[in-house]
Amino acid sequence: MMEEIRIYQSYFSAVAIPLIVIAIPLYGMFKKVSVYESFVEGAKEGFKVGVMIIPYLVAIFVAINMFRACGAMDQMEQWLKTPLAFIGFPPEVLPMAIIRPLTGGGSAGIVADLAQEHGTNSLITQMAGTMFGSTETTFYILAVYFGAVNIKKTRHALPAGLIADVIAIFLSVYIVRMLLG
Amino acid sequence: MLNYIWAGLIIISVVFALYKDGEDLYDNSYRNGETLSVQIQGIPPGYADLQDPGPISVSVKISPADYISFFDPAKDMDRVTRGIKSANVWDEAKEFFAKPLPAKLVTTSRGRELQLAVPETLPTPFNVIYESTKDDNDLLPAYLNEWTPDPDTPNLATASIKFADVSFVSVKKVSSIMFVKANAAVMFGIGLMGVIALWMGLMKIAEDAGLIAIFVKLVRPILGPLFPQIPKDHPALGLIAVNLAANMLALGNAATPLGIKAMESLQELNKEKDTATNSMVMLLAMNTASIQLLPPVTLIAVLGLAAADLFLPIFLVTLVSLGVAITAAKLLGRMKMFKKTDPMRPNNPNAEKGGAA
Repeated sequence: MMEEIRIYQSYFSAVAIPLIVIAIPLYGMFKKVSVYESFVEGAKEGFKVGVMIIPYLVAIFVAINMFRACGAMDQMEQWLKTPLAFIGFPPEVLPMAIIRPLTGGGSAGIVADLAQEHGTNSLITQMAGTMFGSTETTFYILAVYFGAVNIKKTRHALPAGLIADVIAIFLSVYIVRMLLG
Repeated sequence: MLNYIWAGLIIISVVFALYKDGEDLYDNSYRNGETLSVQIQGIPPGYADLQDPGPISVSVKISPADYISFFDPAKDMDRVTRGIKSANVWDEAKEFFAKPLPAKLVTTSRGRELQLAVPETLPTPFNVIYESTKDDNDLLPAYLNEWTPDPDTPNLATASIKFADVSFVSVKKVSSIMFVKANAAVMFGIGLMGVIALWMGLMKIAEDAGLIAIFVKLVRPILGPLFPQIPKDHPALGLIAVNLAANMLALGNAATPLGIKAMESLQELNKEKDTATNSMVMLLAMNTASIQLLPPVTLIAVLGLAAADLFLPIFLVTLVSLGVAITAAKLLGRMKMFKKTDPMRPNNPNAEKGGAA
C-alpha cells in the first residue's frame, strides 16, 4: 500500500510540472494570447525580483548564521532539554525544532543525521521528518516574499508564522508517537 | 517585531561568542602554552646537533592517557565538548590516538617544529586546535620543546610538544561566517532569478489568457473570507490559490515564484508600500504552515522509502497548523498595536496616492 503511494507520488511529481508548463501556453494559444510576448514580459519581472530580494536575503542569512555559529544554540539545547523531556519531547529532535524556522538546508541535514544515527524507521527520525515536512523556513519565506515587494514593516507576519511553527513542531512529536509509535 | 528579532540575533551572537571565548581563556580550555608529552619514531641520531637537517618524516604517537590528562576531563570540559554527538568524547579520543600520526620534522624560524598530518575527523577539543591553527597545507604545527632519545630503541625519542595558542575561537567564527553568508545570500538570490523568471513568465500567460480569473471565481468562496481586503474579481485571489496549491503539492520550485507573484498582486492594493497589509500577513502565514498533501522532495531524497510513512502525520500536522496560522494572523491583526499600523485602515495619513481604493 505504502509502496504504491510512493510510486504514484514519484509519478506525480515527475509529470505535474511539465504538464503545467505545457498546459498554460496551450490554453493561452487557444485563447489567442501572443504567448511568447506574454512570457517574456512576465519573465522580465523575475530578474527585478531576484535583485530586489538580495538585500533582504543578506540581512536574514547573516543574522541567522551568526546565531548558529556562536554556539548559543548548544546552550539553548542544554537549558531546554530537561523541561522538554518532562513533557515527552525527545531531546534528540530539539536541534530540529530550533533550526527549522531558521534554515531549510540545515534542518534537512539534521533529518539526514538522525536517520543515519537512529535509522530511517526510528521514531526520532520520523518525528524530525514530520517536523521538516510540516513546517517551513519561516524567516526565509519572510525575506523572499516581503523582499520581492519591498515590504520592510512586516507587522504580525513573523509572530503568526512562528506560532504556527511551534504548534506544528509539538504536534509532530505527539502525532508521530500516536500513529507510528 | 522583526526589528527586535533581527538585532537580537546579531547582538546575542556576538555577546555570546565573547562570553564563551572569555570562559575558554579563563579556563585555558585549549591549554595554551602547556606541553604535551609524545613519542616520536624516526628522529635520526645526532639530530640535535644538525644545523639545517631539512624535513624528516617521522611518526608521532600520542598516548590516549596523556591526551586525556592534558585536557583534564576532571576539570569541567563539558562546555568545550558539548554539542558532540558521541556520548563520551574521551572514548573517541582513546580510539583516535591508538594509531600514531604521520608528521614531518622541520626547522623553522621558531625552532624545531612538527607538522602533523591528521585525518579529517578529530576528537574534541583537538579538532578546535587543528581548525584554528592549521597551516596552508592543512597540517597541524606543533613546536618541539625538548626530546630525549630512548636509550634502548633506535630512532625513538620521548618529547614534549606545544601547540600554537588558540583564542577567540567563537568570535572569529562568528565574524568570518558573516562575510561568507553575505556572499552566499547574493549568490542565492541570483540563483533564484531563473526559476522566478520562468514561473512569472508562465503566470503572465495564464493571466493574459484569463486562467487566473477563472481560478478567482473557483476559490472565491473558500479564500474570500480569509482575505476580506481583496476586492471581488481581483486577480490576487487567483494567484494566492495557485501559490497555495503548488505548496500543498510540494512543488517547492514553483511555489516560491508563485507566492512572489501573489505578493506583487497584493502590493497593488496596498496603500502604504513599505508596510505589510493584513492580506499579505495572511498569505505569509498560510505559506509557512501550508497543508502538505505530498511530502517535500527533499524529505523523500533524505529518507527514501521511509518518507512514505510520514504522509499521514505530515498531513494531519499541517491541517492543524494551517488552522492555527490563519487564526493567529486574524487575531493578531485585531490587536491594537497591529491594527494601528494597518496600511488599509481608514484615513491612513501615510496612504500613497495612486494606491488602489
